[in-house]
Amino acid sequence: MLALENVWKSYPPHGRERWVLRGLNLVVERGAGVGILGRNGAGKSMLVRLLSGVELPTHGTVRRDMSVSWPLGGAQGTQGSLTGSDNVRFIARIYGLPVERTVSWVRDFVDIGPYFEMPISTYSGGMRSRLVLTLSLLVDFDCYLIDEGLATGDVNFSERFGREIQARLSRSSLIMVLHSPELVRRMCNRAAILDKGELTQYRNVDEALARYKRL
Amino acid sequence: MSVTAGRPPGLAGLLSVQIRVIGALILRELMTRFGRRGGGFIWIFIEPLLFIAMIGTFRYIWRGGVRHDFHPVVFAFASLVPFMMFRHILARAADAVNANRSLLYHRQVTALDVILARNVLEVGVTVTIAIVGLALCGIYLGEWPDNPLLWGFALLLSALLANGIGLLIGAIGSISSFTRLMVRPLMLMMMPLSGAMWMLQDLPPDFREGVLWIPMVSIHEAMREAQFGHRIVSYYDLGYVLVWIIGTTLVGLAAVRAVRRFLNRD
Repeated sequence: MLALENVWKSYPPHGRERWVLRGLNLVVERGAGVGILGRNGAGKSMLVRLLSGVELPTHGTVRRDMSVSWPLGGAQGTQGSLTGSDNVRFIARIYGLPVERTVSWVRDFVDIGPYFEMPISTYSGGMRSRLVLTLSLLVDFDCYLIDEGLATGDVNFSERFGREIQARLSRSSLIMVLHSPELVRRMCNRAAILDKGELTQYRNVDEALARYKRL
Repeated sequence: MSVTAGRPPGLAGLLSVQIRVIGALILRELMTRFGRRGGGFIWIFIEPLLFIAMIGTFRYIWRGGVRHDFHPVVFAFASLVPFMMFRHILARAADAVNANRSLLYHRQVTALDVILARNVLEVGVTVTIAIVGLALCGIYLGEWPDNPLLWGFALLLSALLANGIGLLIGAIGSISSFTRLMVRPLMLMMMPLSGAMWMLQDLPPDFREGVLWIPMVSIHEAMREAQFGHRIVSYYDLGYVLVWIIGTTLVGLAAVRAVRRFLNRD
């Protein structure tokens, strides 16, 4: 289970305070797929960082009794000045995976040719998220946090990744920040809207999407 | 191709994770510091050579009115090693969190790990330079250290003191770009105060007690005694240095913990 209990977060952390999250409550059980909807700047990424535990709430509690991925999306969790393969080595080392076997598996899966041996700061947005999403498959987390990462990547890769992640969803949970209605319908069994610092949960995905359109 | 992300069992498990993480971070830092082929390794020897030339010239011109029967280059080398380690650790620690911000997204990678990894790497670099320099001074100038054990101990104290202050600077540097900017010029300005360029025996006796309040002065004096033995008179208080090490390490650890809440990871 992953739960937020009356979580408040101010931002920027120093300087003039502004409450981005105002008393959030959320319970995510094993196997749940939760879509988080919200406009740009509503605090969705902040919410994901709090759920993952890389950032701490100003007030309130985050309860985590399953293993949770780092927030997947953009270049988060990778080092721009290192090559793709060196980033894989780093991840393999900190999670205790066999290093060279992991590198060759990722090289085949991510399929970006010579770019794999170049600094990832030279990657396009699509290539970067391919790498980050592939890295997330290395570890069997109980809960995957995906921060707008799925929309990029070509059809070929998206399908390959979709198959892998769907196979895990029978036993793992998924919390996704996303904008695409089809993806919400396909991957999530419930949804919530983050607006003006408050989180409203909907049992029904379509109801949430209809509400989101009117924001 | 996957492992299950389980909870590490107990303190021993937690410790083994931290050691694994720091090891991975050191390898990652090596990559950007020296490049894949290690060509950048040459550069770590250029800077000490410049400093040795600077201090050596200074010693040659200004000997405090006293003649010493040792080579100014050996003096410069023995004085420089602790200061250089100090300078590198502090400069690199200040930027440690900033340069690794995106890696902090992995929950097992903490600000403490990235600062410690950099500190350990800098100690390794300095020890490498020290061994090469000691051998060169011995072979070409016939100056072998009088007391190798004290040499090593003074270097160890210097590393621990730099680590303690580095933790503090690293914590402040993670939230203050001004600190990151100022640490290098400040370290250069500290150089004349650190005792790297002069010996206490050349100072007026009234001054000696005063400058011994600066812990680096004791380290440099001990280093020179280790190198030259009784050819010089040294004044130092290593117990006082130890108090500084304990104090700065505790304050540094507390500071790293305190800034956790303020680390915005964008």
